[in-house]
Amino acid sequence: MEPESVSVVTSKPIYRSEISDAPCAYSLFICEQLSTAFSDLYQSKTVAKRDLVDDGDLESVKDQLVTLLADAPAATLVYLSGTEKYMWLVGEQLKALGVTEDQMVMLPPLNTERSVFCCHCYTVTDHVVTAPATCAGCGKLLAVTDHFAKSHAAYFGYQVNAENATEIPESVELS
Amino acid sequence: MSNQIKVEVASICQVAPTIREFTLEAIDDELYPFSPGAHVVVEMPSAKKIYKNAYSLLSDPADTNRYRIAVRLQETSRGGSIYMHEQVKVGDQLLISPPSNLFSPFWLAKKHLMLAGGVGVTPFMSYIPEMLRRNTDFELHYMYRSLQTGAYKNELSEQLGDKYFGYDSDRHTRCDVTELLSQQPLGTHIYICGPESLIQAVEEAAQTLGLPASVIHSEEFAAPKPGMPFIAEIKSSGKQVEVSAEDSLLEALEASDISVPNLCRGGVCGQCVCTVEEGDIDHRDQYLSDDEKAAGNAIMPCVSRAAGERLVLDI
Repeated sequence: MEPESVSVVTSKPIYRSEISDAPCAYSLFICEQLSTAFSDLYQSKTVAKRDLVDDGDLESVKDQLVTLLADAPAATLVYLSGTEKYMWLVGEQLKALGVTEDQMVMLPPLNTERSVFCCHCYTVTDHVVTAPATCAGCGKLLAVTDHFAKSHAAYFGYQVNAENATEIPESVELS
Repeated sequence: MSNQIKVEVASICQVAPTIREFTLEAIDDELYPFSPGAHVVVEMPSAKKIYKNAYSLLSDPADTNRYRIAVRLQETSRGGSIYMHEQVKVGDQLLISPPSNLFSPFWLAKKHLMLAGGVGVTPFMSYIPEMLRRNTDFELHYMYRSLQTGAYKNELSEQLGDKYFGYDSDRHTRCDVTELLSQQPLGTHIYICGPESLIQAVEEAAQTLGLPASVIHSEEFAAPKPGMPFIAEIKSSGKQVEVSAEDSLLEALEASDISVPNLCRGGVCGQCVCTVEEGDIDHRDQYLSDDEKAAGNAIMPCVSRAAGERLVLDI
């Protein structure tokens, strides 16, 4: 007996490359590695006050954010550039400091790599570009869904061949 | 509503020239606990008809022995607030709904900025004790006209000290909303309760400054205002319901034994939404988005009316 349909949760974020010129009193630009495009964006925004954080290390970004946002105004806007995982994990740090999601502008991620959360052993496997993917924690072969968890910056993964270990679906490239 | 609570009016107190406070105590059972920002719907059986209006609970949520509400006598009252002011006496019994909350504080905020206009101070009366207990950062900015409103201003000023800011437009002190918002730190959530004009002014200032929409919260119960009479036709039965100038569409439907689920009866909660098949709508609610209003296929019958002579409802 085949199930009629599979429940499909799609929460894959949609990123836009065109940046609207929203008003703000302070803007903060955070990138994993500085690109010309991001540098140009930083230069082009004429705001009373702005800062640039060019740092791929999440721990040291956190320290800088605490200092930079200590006296920030309510009308703050944050621009983020980097891999999807970097942007959302920095996003979590920003939320803890009072920045809301509608104050964050995330640019299209630098690559199509996904982090995958294994629902069996809770390990997050990074740099996944094809599905199914082998879990770095338990070794199970995981289906990679479009169900994105913002706080983990990872997609939900579950064992694809739980009932028949010999059943291995064809590998497909993720977008 | 079958789950109504029977309460007794324990005391009545004039708290401003046009505002009366009612203390309600339970008769049979205990009162339900409630959260800051909650309201109850009070049933007012006047000689003409039964009015049902939502009022914010202004007592401390930790006190479940009594509820307190404040009612402003509305100049354009259809009868609800007149009934509360002129008919209700100490010892009378009233039926109220259990509390529900559409205006809860966002507790993760770094700071709470409350903007009250006139009798709109009431939900903040239940916020403040809880915010004091949690030791959160907050400010109350209270705009009133001392010849009409301004209830609780002295006790709030005394209790809150430098967290309290009063503006009396009958004495020409006004709040510069744009200036106030521009001074707020990151992580501030803003709560507005008062007339539509205040809510609009704050929303516009926030948008101009670049404050995110997600930190702006507002509540305004619109008592249904009268309008032109019209006919509501029920698609399923073909029944024609006459809606008089004074009645709301929801009241007219209920009088014809057509029950529509409802909660706040003030255009806020969204429970009573009905699908409109034909006819133009005069939208007066806070619930539907501008796009939904423009689409013209949904109405909140508690406050909104037909813009023409006839509406066909798909219910």
